Amino acid sequence: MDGGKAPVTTSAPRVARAMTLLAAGFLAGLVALAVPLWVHRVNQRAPAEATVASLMLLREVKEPVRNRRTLAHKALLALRLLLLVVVVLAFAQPAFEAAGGAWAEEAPEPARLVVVDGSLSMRRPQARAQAEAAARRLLAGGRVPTRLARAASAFTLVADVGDAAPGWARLDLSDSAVRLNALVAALPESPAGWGVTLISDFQASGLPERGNDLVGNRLVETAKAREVVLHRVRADTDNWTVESVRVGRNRVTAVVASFAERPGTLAVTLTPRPVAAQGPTPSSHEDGVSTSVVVPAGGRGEVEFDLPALERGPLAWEVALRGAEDALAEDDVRLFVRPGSETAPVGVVAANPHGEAAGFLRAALTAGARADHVVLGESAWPRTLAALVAAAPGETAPAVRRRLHRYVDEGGGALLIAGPAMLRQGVLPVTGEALTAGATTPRRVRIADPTHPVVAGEWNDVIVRRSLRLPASAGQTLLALVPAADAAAWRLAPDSLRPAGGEEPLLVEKRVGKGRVLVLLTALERSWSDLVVRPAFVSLIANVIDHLAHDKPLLAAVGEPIAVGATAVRVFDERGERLPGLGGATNGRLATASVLRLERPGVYTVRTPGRQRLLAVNVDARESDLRPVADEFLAAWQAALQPRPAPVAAGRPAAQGETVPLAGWLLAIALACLLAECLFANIGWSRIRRLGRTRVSAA
Amino acid sequence: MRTASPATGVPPAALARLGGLELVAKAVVEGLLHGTHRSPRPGFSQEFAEYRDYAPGDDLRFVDWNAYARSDRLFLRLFEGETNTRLLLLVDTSASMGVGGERGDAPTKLRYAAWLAAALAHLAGRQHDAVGLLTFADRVRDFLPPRAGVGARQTLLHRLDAMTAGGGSDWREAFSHAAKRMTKRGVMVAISDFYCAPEEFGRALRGLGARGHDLIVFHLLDPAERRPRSRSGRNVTLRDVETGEAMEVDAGELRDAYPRRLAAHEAGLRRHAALAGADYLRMDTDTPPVEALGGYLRFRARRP
Repeated sequence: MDGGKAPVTTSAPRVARAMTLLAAGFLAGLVALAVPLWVHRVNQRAPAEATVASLMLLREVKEPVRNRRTLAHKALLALRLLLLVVVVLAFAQPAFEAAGGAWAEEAPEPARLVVVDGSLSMRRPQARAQAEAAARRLLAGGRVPTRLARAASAFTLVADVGDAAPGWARLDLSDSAVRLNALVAALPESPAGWGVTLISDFQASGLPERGNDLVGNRLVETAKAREVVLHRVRADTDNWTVESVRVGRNRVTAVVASFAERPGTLAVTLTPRPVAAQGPTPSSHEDGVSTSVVVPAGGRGEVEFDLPALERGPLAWEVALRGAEDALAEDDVRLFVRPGSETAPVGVVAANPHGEAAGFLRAALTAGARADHVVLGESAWPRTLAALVAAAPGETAPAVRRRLHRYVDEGGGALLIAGPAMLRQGVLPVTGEALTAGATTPRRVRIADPTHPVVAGEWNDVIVRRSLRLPASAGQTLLALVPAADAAAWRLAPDSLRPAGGEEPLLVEKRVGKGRVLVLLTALERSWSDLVVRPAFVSLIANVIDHLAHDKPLLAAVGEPIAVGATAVRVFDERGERLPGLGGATNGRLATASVLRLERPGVYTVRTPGRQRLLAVNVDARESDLRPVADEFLAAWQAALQPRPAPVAAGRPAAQGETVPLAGWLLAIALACLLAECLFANIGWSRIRRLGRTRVSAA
Repeated sequence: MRTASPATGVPPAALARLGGLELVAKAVVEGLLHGTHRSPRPGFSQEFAEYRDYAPGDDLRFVDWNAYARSDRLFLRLFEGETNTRLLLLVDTSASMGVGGERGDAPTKLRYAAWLAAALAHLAGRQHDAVGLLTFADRVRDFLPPRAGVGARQTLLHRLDAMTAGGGSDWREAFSHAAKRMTKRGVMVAISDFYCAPEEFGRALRGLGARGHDLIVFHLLDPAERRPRSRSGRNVTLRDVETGEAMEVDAGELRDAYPRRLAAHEAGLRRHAALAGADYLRMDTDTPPVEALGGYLRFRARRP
């Protein structure tokens, strides 16, 4: 043994030659076929002809004898040829490879998986009825095991055709292969494999941009599936939909799309969407506003609506088509949530709520449309906050600092603004980092990260006289302080100067726990900087709040995964009822620690620790294009889904990959042919000859 | 006194090499005369012709003892026929007569028939008999009324030499024609292979016999007709030379059944010839004509 390796098997591998017409033995045998043919031909040639004086005394061979002789000749020829062919085949050493099922005599019927398209487009009554009927037909056979599955954004096994009713999601055919494979892989083993029938309307919009990529895609790659059958259902395709909405601060623009072959004049209404989390809808907005739009066939039309002031109006709205007699009514409504929809207030923490810093801060919040901020003390913190701004947090009570720390640690966002007394403590609350004295000479502000949304604004006139300093490795610097001597160059290109020597951070962003903080390293006092009297301060506070609060309207499509960014997520529907089973799959609603997938349109309230947001979930606009793929395309795809050979039948000795040599069987057949030839050529042929002679004599 | 000719039993091949029919006829007749020295009446007549010296082995019955008593020498009595005897040769020239000569040295049946006819004509000429010829197939092709003389015989020999085989054979018309043209009694010699129904042949022959003619029937057969065989031992397709009809025949049929049918056919011909008062003689073309003809002449000489 060397090195503990397994001994190498020295026996030659068993070679099983596949039959081929180019095998030398086969070709030689083919030539040898001429020998019995020639011999037989010699024996079979036409009788010699001679001239005689008269046939008067002769008798012709009787017809039955001649026929029987001809038959005997042919049978003998066939027997001899068969003998030679079998011998040749035997020497060619043919073998059947068990893999691929070439050995199988008759493919048993595979078990049947019926997958019904449960996408939104299948809610059309005609399509739904056809799909249900087709599914029932396939399931009614009962000869083989059957399973029923519903396919949309998820492929799930269901018990009954009724459970396979279409939902609201979209079926992406280019994406479905993976999910279908997973579904088939989860099926039990079937001796004859599984046959998959996909019942769908096969929307063209469900194809990838390069639809031909699907042709050649087996759709089901697992060996369990022997065949895939595409079954198309048909229904009306004329359809209109609110394809999208563009929401501004005070206006909303809705795009109405036509997938019809005729132009249409459609009534479009904008109405508030009642959502429990936002309270009752004001009566002044209950009726909404309505207008009409003319949409050309296959084109687009736009309508604009004015939105009421944010503080007076609801946050969730819907734009709907009224009276559109189209194939699909479910896509006639599009929901949206207005920006600034964070329903939680901004919290303000200040060592002295009535001091100068708190005053500047509250003024800036109010100017930045955050009038609903609340000043927080040691108790009575609200359950959720959009963000938190702390002025001189180091000077607050320890309890406040602990709550502040917990808030950030659980995922909240806070702006920590240095206070004049924090240098004495030497520690930055929440992060626990050491603070040291920074610049003591007047400095100007340089935008260190121009791409960050927080620093947008005019910083050229801001002078910082004093600041604190954090360790160099602490976080990402958004604003920096540069010596005022560089003012001339600074004015020319404040955001493109290379960091100069002596530069110090002014605004730093860093992560703490699951949350994040922005640290402003100068105090909100005129003796420290003139920032509080500059316009940049208001925009800085507004941008910081927006940034920390993720204050973007959440918009998603049905079935689309939504990253939440929190481990503890609670989702409430429009009626304020919590959706159960978050973190697992129940009733088609799936939520994991960081990803939500909602299967029905609506306005949902998503609560994460310290935060609450509205989420508008709409049907996928691509699902509104009901036009099917071309028949030719579907036929080509179906042709590409060639059935796999049946697996090796149970009880067969050949395992997968094994070859079954046939030479022995062929030689046995050859021996049988040889015996038959001897018997027939000698005994049988002599009998026929005698019979012929007897008949002639009798004549 | 004549000397015996060594041409006794000249084989057919040798006769064929002689070429001219006249030579063949002379050779045959010489052979006949040489080989049939025991017979004082080699011809068809009964009249005395001459004496010749006795030779050892001659039949003592034909010694003229009176002449011996007068001259003390042994003379043998020879006879000559009557001058008014008419001999009509009926030769079948149908296509079937052209068959033969495939085995050994046998000539075709027609050639053999010509030899026989020429020999008979020559023999008759020696006895100053009138000899005529009727050749026929499916109709009468040629007719020479019986005439005596060297010129007439030469004409007959020419006609015999010019015979060709073809067509079928109609015995009834041939015999009817002969009966009409030969009103006086005479000798009629029919030479053919007689592929016809024996009954039909017998009826035609009896018509002639009723007119008082002396009838002789020579039935010619080629060796291949006597013992046909398939060379390959398998079936053979045979084509009738007269009708063109083809027939596939089993080798066993040729080997076993056909000879039996031929024997039956021959017996039928013999029986019907006898009923008509005719002499029947089967002749094989591979047999020397001298031998075949001599045997018959001896038989005829012995007949009362």
